[in-house]
Amino acid sequence: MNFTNDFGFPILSVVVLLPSVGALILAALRGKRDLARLFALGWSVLVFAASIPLLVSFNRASADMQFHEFVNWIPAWGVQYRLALDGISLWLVMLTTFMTPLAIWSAWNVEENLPAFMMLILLQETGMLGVFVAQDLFLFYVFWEFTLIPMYFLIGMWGGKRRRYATIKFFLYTFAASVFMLVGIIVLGLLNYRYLSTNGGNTNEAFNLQSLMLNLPNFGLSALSLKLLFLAFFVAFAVKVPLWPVHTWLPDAHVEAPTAGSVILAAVLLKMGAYGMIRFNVQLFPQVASEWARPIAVLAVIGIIYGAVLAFAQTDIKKLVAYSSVSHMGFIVLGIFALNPVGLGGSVLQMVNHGLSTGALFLLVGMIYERKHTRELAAYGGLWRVVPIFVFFLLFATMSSVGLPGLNGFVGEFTVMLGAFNSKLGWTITAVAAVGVILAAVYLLKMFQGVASGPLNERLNGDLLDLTRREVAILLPIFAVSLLIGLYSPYFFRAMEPSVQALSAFVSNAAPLLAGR
Amino acid sequence: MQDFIWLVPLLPLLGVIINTIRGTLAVRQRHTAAHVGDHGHADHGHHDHHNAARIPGWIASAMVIGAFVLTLATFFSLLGQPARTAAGENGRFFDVTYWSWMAVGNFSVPFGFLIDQLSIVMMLLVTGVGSLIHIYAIGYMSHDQRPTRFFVYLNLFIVAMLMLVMGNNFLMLFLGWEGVGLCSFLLIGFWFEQRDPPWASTKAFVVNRIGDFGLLMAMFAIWTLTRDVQGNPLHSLMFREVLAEQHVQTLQFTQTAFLGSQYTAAGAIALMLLLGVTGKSAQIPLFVWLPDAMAGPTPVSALIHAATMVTAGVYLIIRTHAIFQLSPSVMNFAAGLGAATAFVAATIAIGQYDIKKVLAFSTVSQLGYMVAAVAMGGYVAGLFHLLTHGIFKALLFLGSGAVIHGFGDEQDMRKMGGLKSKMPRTFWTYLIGTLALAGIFPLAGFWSKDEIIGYAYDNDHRLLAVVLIISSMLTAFYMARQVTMVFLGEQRDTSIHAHESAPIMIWPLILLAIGAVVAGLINLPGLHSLETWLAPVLNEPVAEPAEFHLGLAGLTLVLALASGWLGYYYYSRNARRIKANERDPLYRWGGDFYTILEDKWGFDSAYDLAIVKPYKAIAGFANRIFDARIIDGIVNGAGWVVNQASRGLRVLQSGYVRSYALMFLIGVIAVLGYFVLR
Amino acid sequence: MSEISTNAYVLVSAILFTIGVIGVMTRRNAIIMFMSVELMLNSANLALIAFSRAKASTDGQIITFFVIAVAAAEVAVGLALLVSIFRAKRTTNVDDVSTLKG
Repeated sequence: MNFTNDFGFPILSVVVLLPSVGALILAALRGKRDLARLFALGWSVLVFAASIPLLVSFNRASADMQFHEFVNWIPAWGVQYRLALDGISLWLVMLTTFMTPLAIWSAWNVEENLPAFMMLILLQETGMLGVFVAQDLFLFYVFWEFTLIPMYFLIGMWGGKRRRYATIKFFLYTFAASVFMLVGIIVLGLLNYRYLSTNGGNTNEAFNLQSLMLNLPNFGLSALSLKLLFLAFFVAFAVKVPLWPVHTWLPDAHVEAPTAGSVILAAVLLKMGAYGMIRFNVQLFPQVASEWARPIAVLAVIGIIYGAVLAFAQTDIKKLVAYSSVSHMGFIVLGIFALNPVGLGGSVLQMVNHGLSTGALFLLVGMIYERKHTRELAAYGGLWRVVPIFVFFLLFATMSSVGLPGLNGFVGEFTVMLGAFNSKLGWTITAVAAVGVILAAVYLLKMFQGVASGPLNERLNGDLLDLTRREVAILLPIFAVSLLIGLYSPYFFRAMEPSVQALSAFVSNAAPLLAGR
Repeated sequence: MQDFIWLVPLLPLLGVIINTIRGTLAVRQRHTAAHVGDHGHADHGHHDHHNAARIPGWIASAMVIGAFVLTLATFFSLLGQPARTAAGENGRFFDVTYWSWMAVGNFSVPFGFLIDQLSIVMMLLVTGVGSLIHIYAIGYMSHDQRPTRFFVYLNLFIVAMLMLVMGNNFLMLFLGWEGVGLCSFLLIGFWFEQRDPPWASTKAFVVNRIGDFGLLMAMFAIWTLTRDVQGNPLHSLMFREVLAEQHVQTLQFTQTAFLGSQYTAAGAIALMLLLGVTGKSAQIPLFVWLPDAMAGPTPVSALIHAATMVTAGVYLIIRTHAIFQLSPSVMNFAAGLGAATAFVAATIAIGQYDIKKVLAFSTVSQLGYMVAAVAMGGYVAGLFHLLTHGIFKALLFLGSGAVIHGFGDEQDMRKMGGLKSKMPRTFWTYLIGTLALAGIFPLAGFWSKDEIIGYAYDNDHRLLAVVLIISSMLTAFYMARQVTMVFLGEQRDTSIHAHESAPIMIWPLILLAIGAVVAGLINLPGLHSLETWLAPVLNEPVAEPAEFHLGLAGLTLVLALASGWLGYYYYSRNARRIKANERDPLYRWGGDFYTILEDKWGFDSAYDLAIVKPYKAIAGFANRIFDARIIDGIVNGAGWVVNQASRGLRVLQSGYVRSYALMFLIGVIAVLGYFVLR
Repeated sequence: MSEISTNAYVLVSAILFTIGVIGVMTRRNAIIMFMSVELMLNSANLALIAFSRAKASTDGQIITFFVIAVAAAEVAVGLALLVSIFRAKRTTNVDDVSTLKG
């Protein structure tokens, strides 16, 4: 295998495949519950530790892809196994390796077949990491679809009452949308193969993203075919994000998923859609992206408001948080299609923020559900008195999600909206998005007050136990990072800055769309 | 001092951290104690508990007092610098930057402080009045279950408020702005077991968020539109860069259309800032949260909802006056809004029975004065009133707290009466506060209120001056009504044992009362120390003291005295008619007009009808019908179509091998036929 | 002895194939259907070899070997299926085995 890094071994492959190795070992631990969960936690922490060198030796001054490693996979088609990462992927990789141990730890008390549960989460981690670092479209697609399978089983086997409906909807919805992307990928790969072979290029790289970025303008594609290709990718990503109006799989999947599944789903899986929009829609079709920026931003803004309104109408806490995801992911898409460094950077940071704060909210909902086995808001109230530590963390997560300055959510939302305001999207769209900030306070405080305040139902909740040490230890790292981002975001922005700058420059320098043909 | 400014907010923050750790440990201990089942010490004694309950209060108070001392030191160190540099620019300020808070692309904002004449005045008010209220709260909260948590919130509030006034850029201001909002939320809802506080706290946060929307949009616009002298985007949110005269001028050259009218960027930004002001400083139309905020403990009402947080809007206008000045129409609008708020809130105050609600509407009304003053351009007058009001309104709230505390936690004025003899110290300090608020010579309120009215009169805002004078009469009336109902006459509900409060609560009252008497000194006509002090930061070349109109002042004073006497006379004459759960004697005169006052001019019900209910209805519709039936219906419909189509096709899949073979044959013949007949 | 023309081989092959088709279409006994399928396969083999000879090329013969091998495998699997069907249903009539339907 060819690789370029200072470590002397292909570190990205190690980080990506390590979780799967752990999953294989777990397969040997069937029936040994305690050992299996301890091993899974330890192994996922090991994966996190393995990803730290990426952060440390990442060259923050460079916009290029780093830690390249590749090997020819199917040379006849021009498919390679090629991994690399830049400032945008870096934080998403870190988010994945950071959240997975916490999700595993939160599933400490899964009753049924715990080793298999842990195995699936580790497999899921491989898939997600692969998505964020794959630089070959074919490989990307393999990882992309692979992420569906563990999640399908996680929801389908450990889910709630309506899990059959939820899993089938989740699987079919996202899978059907991804098929469009597959068509797009094949078309691009074939075109590039032809182009490379006629121009004496290296046909082994036909599916390579960088090669495509370079060559795509020379294919002589008409505006219409470019737009169709853009759409093929966009549909797949929009469903994953999820963008209004293709969001309805999300609340069902979230409500039925086990806590760890919800955390992974919200924290990382949704980010794959937004990441894909940056990587493929914007990078491959800059002209179409800037031409369609406004309608897409309108969809995003509708999603912001719509998600907020629907979140307010929910009585199920988990569903409320699920709809809040729809609203928050709207901000991320808005930032991407501001297409300037501020918006894009804010958007990437907001992906991390949303992963942290919504992940924390799902963890907290899961913790209280584990105690009372209900998620109805009406069943709670006044918990501040019996479980003050839980409520403290809930307040923290709520405020981070509301976008309180000083915590992480604000930094992302502010920069996203600032970017949108300063872009050609203009102030009206930004103003509507900012209304979403007001509405966020409405539904999140409704949830917080419903749980924490009001008269306590002694009979139902009087003997509720506060968070255990394990649960506090799960939440504390999230909040430490939230505060760090909230008060010292340049550390996070600096690593992605060159990539974001380069991307934005790439978009504004892109040749205009060809007319006709 | 410049190197130690960070200590000012750090001390209260330290208080937050220490008390949080102490509180967490206490929770732990209680848990373990409960597990051990150690009931032997259950009758440990009330006394011990009380002393333990006071420790967090003392820690918190010490931190705020420390911050006050440091602020004083900063003040004197500013005083030691020349007022103006040789070039004629402001010489008295510290602009310190600690670290880069956010930076991406061409957007960069530091974490840093700007201490100039304006912020130091606010800091003195926050830490000074804050210290007294902290000390008072030690006594007030001594019976509460959760004093530690209370003082954590209170200290956190001081931190946030200091961020608000010390920040050297708009985002720092916003950090404090939202931070005080959070603390206000937590403190209003402090007694979360009850029914009202959680609702009131949510309302306060959400209504404030509407204001924050304005502030956010203003920040986006300022960052995007401000140009430097060459006409390039400045892309900055730093006060000293954006608000510099040569930069802020450029905001006039960008136009934007909204709802059919043209605005300059400066006008639009000013309007958005004004929205923020109406939220935080409780102006029409967003004032509705403040009266409900009285559900919180009384020291909170004094500190947050009277003296400091609610004046943040006034501070914001003064801080950004360079933008406001570019848009006279927005200024006039804001002045009208302020005067209208002053009048409306003063009338509503007459119709309230809750001792704290009266003060709350009084606060709204006085904030209206301040906003009107600064919006007319009378920045010094506005700030002057802000300071004096901060002192005497804190005094009044703490006094009302002492009354509530000593009157069995009852807030209904109709049950009170005759408390003068039961709590004399509270009465006398309260009376001083009342006189100061009513604008009686020579107390603080007289000077500051007169300066506002005088300024309005001088600057061709005659109508506003008249409205403000009428509001001042109303103020005297409702305060006289309150004092009469609470302290004079006979106690109406005799089942409650009334008593004077502990010295720890009385001493802050006395100190504040002294302040209410002498605070007028800081900007006496003729001396104008505040005016001179602020002149450099307001960019006024030469301090031009407002003229003192003896006639106008005399007229206002006479009118206030007259209406005050009227209030006293009417309510002492009709003392027998005041009964618990019955309407005010004034109802006989006012009839339905009085009902309107009781009903707070219908703002709450109007919002309920126009916004809250429709929103709930829309949310319900979207949830049950639109999302479930239409959007999800399309998705499920696609599934249904596929399902139906396959139902049709499955007829072909009969299961009989030979029919498959036949189809096979037909297929072969068809293919062959195609090739043959082609 | 004169050469038998390619046409004759192809004719025989076509006749055999038609018999096979008719056999598959008309008979219900799975074993007879199997035999008919074999008949069709072998008619194809015959045609292939005939053409191979006519063209003097070995391609057809190679394919024939493939077909024979595949047919053998097919018969093995098919008969195994048939035996298990017979065990379960006590019949070799294909019309009785129609549970696999939409």
